[in-house]
Amino acid sequence: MSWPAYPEGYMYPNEFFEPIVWKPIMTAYTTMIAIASGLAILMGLTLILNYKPLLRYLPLMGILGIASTLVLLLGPLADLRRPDQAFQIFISPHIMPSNTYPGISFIAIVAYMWPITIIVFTLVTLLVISADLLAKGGYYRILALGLKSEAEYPSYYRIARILAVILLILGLAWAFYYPGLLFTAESKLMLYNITPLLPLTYTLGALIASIFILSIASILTRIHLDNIMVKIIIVSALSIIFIKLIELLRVSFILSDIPVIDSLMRVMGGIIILTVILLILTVILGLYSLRDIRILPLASFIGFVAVILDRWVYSISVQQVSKTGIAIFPVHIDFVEALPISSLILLFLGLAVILSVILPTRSVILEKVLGGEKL
Amino acid sequence: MLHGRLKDIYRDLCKIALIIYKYIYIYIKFLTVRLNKVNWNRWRAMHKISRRDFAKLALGVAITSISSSSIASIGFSRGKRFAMYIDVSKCYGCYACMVACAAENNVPVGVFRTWIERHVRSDGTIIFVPKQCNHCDNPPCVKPCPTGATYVNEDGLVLVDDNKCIGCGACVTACPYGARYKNPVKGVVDKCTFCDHRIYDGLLPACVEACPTGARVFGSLTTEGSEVRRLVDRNPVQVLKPEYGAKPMIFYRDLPEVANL
Repeated sequence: MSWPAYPEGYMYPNEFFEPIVWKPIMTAYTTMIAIASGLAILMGLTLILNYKPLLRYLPLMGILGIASTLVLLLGPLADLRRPDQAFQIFISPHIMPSNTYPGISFIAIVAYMWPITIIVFTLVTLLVISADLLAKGGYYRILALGLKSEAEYPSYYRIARILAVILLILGLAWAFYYPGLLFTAESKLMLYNITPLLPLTYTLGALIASIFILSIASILTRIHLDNIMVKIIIVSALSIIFIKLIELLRVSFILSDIPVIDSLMRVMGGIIILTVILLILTVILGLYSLRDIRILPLASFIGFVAVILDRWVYSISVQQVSKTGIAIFPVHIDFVEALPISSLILLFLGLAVILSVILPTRSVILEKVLGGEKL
Repeated sequence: MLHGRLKDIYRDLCKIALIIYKYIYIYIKFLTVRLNKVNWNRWRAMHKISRRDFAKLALGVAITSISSSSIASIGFSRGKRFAMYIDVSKCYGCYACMVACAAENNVPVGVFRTWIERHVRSDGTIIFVPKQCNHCDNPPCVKPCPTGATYVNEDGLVLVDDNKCIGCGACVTACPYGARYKNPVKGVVDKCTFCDHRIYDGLLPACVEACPTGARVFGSLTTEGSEVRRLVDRNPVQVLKPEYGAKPMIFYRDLPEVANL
């Protein structure tokens, strides 16, 4: 670690001891959160609106959603200094304000949301594919949640639609994870003032990430891709570009006299420009995919990379919330974290494969019962 | 084997019961604190409740809060509010406080519970500003802590329970004063405690005791006739970054503008 000279006096030495950390694990788990939250939002909206073009993807959304939610907290766990004490978050959560413990911790709320999200995701998925599980017979009947005959399926589907409302709320809450940390922090002033539309950017990014994963999984399970996925990608990417431009204009014309902006822009500026370029590329490729759907995985992949970069720049910048912005060090990415990151991704992929073997990835009954359309 | 399983289940049930008890305790405490703050005559007028109905309501609330009031009274027995007064004009940057603090509290090399900033004014004069945890009255660092490891004690000290801290760093990010750090030895977050192990034994914090010019004055703001109260009352004092609304309990005299970055 290098020790730079202080520009003025001897300021905030603790900031210099642990300066901005370019930790890839932070990006890895925020991206995983993006995937899980995006799938929850997509699945929730599809069920609530009963949106036919996306109905065929429901089992796949559920499987991927369960797999990503299961591994969700492993990333933050790897980021803790005392992971051995992580259980304290469940034993003594800071979710009730008192004199001794003023305020409410958003992290504690999120930790409690985790098992709830797994349960709701599992229930909605099983309810959606309950008739198919019943048709499979044997032990699969246990997973059909007591469904006796195909005739009962519409009522099960209705319950799934009700639960989808909870799933949508949970998905949005997860999408707000990082912005939520900022909003609930008292010292949010600086970064929050620069990026007040962060929750929206994160939600749209989550949709892009989930569409990318869904499109790849659809190809692997031979479910044909639909133009609606392309439209979601294009609209989300365009919206993020628009938000970035508004924020950039605001920073340039209104906040330019804040001294921290200069040092923040040194960290964020280049990455934000690269993100916008990638998003523009996503939109162009997306427009091409409307003609040839085979390009969708490439378009969504570039959008996914843009989302990762966007997550990274904010997870780095969040560290500056409390700080002077003076301690900007050269970028140093520590690849020691390659093991936890790869295990996080591999565990997600492994769980997704196992679940797709156990559970049906497409619902024949859903197709038959709901409108008779060829799904 | 079954016996072992039953024991495990029993242990789990005990844990759950403890958690439920804790929630109820916190809820009751929260309720009583909230109730104490309300102006009842105004509340009654606002809700158009007669004195008779109000008396009935109050009786019900009183019955439910008998146990909680006794619990709440344990926590606020001393009723002190520890604070520090720092006269910047008296500090000449000898770093004795930093050394004393590091020695007293085993502070690892590279991190600081207290430090002295050196600022150069436009006229060339040099000013030293000692800084540390402000033990805020509205501490921004306590709120994001997911496990309640960071807490405010009965005398207003903001402390960290090492056994509960998971090292997530949310409080480090939240503190606007850069006073917290992740202790590289312990793995948990660390900060100034106002030397709580000393002050409850009637001693002064190590930094105050070591200061050769008396630039640092420590005491309770709520204690009548205390030195710190007298100085804060009589002198024009400033706090760091008041815009954050943290209500810091370190009061500075002659704080230069440049030190408030």
